[in-house]
Amino acid sequence: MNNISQLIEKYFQGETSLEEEKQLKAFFQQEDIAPEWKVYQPLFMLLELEQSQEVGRNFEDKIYQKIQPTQKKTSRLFVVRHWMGAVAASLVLVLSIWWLYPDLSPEPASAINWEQYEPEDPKEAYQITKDALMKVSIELNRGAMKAAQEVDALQDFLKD
Amino acid sequence: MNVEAIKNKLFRFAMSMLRDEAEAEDVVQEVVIKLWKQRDQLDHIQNMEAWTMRLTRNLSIDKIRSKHRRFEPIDTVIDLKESQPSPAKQLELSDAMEHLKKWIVQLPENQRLVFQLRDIEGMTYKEISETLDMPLSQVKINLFRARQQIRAYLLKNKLYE
Repeated sequence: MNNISQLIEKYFQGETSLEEEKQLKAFFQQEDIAPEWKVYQPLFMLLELEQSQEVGRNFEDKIYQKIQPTQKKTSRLFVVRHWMGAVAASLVLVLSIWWLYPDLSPEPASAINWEQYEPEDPKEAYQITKDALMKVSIELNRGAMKAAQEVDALQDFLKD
Repeated sequence: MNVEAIKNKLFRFAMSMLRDEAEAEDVVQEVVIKLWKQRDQLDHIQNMEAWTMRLTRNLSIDKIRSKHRRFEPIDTVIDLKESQPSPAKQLELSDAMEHLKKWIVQLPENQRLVFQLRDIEGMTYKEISETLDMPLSQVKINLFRARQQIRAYLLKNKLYE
């Protein structure tokens, strides 16, 4: 009990350690406090109570709402639009050049013999087409995957 | 960086300055979003907790300034002469705590913040010094004065006995 008296004195002199301050808070949480120390009970109980004050329940949801709209801009739709725009622009450019400078077209006679590169059996043709489609599919999904990874990373960031 | 662990601490710190739950939560959200956006450049920060506390403090001050209000919100300031507690024995412990809480709000700014960070958040003197950009000696002096004033108030008014 003497120890508590000394601790209280040390506390008000600003000489207690964090550990001693924890002891004081814990001591004053009990109901039966000696009359001479009761006067300090509101202080140490208040400190303990204030320590438990927390942000609202929907805190994380609000963060997601604030962060996610900016991420949607880089989502799949954006990538698809971007990709289609690039193809359209290239087509317009090629057609314009062809229309303006028809003489630039290469002589058909000197063209490469593409036949030598053509697949010879249907199985090989199928595989080549499948690979090409897979490559396009991966490119299209990259944006969506990136957005999903960002959301996962944000969840980890808030919870870890 | 553990946002889950620190968010409540930041919230209480913002509350100690703003005295408004919605505004304090806004500030903490802003801090977390800033951290998220700069997450790739945070490696060079030595004491992340002190850094986020300082950011919380600066954003809270910005909020206060943007409203052109006094640092001590007027509605929480009570007139001490008119609010002397009624006879101590009639007061419940919770009333005493509520009364003390309102009184602590009126301590000088530096004393109140140091008291908050030490006695509620359990921070070391060094951490408080970094958070508030205050020399270590001033941290100790402000804490000593805050506790002395609180003790004098408790002994004088005997809120609970």
